[in-house]
Amino acid sequence: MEIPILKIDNCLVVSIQGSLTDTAALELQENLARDISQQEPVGVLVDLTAVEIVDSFVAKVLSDISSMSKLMGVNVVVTGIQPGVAITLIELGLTLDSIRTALNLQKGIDFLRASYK
Amino acid sequence: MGLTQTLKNNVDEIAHETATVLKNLDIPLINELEYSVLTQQMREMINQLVIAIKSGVDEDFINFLYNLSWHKVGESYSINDIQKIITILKDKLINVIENEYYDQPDKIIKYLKIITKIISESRISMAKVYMKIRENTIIQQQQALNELSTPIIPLFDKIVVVPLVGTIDTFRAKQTIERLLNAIVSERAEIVIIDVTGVPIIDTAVAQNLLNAAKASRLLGSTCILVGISPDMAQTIIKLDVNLFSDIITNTNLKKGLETALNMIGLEITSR
Repeated sequence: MEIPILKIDNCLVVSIQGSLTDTAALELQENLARDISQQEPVGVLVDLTAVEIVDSFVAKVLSDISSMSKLMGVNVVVTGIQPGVAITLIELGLTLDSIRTALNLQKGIDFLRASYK
Repeated sequence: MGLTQTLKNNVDEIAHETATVLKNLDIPLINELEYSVLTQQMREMINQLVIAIKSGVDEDFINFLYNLSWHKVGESYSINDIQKIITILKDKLINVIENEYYDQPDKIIKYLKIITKIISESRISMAKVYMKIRENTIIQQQQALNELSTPIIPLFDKIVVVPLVGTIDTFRAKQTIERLLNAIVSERAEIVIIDVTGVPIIDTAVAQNLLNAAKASRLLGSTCILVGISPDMAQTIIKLDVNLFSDIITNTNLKKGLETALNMIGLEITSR
């Protein structure tokens, strides 16, 4: 199952639904990198509201996706991280220190809007 | 005449005599009982013993012991009291057997064996039940304590406060983090104030746990403010050389923390 990458204004929005397989996660990483270089968005928003749990591999890929987008010069905001996911990330030492986080999609969009206005 | 018949014939005598001995033991809970109630209880126990002698120690007997122990623990009898009662009953039963069969030594031995077996099985089952009941109580108390010890208080719109009191071990820290994160999601909290005024000692593990709580809440999208670090605690942290708190906002006390929090969400308290 491919994860859609949506474009709103000049931001890319990725909303991950349900559990993420290893291949889907890697595919997302690849597609997002391509879309960022082709479409030159100012911001990327990754919404994890519907992700209840992650394993260590997917957690690493999600962390990589955020750092990668940041490296490519766009503002990244990760929204809706669930408690279980947060605990897994912390235990793996993936604290996403340089990445902006927000409680929900609305807050994330507000942040991105504010950053490019 | 068989053992069960003998016991049946002597039920009243055994019940009365054991009840009298028990009354003289000076166990407060027994002293409170009416003499007639006590004899009735002893009579019931003897009847159950007679049934157990006939059919062996079966499920019914174990159930009887279970219910009895449950009842006695409910009345807060100690395990010592229960064992004393069994001993007194055993002594009396041996007496009865001695008197009844004084001219038939082989029968005495045979019946004593039966009685001893049943009595020791009863002791074991009652002890087991007693332990089990106590264990349940401990588990329940622990749960209650855990729930009490980590309250997460929604202080204001978007602000939750976690007042930590007492020693924080890894288990408690994990539990607190979990509850805190769930509260952040359900309350949509943007600011979390962790108040450690009530934490007496801090070590590296506790420091690490606090840091984890802060990092995890940041992942969810809220900001963590640590307040109430006592002078002693601050010195300990410096001595431990844990430069962990450099990325967390710290404030002197809850009051200052609340001011910072309100400031961050664009609110202020003014007098009317």
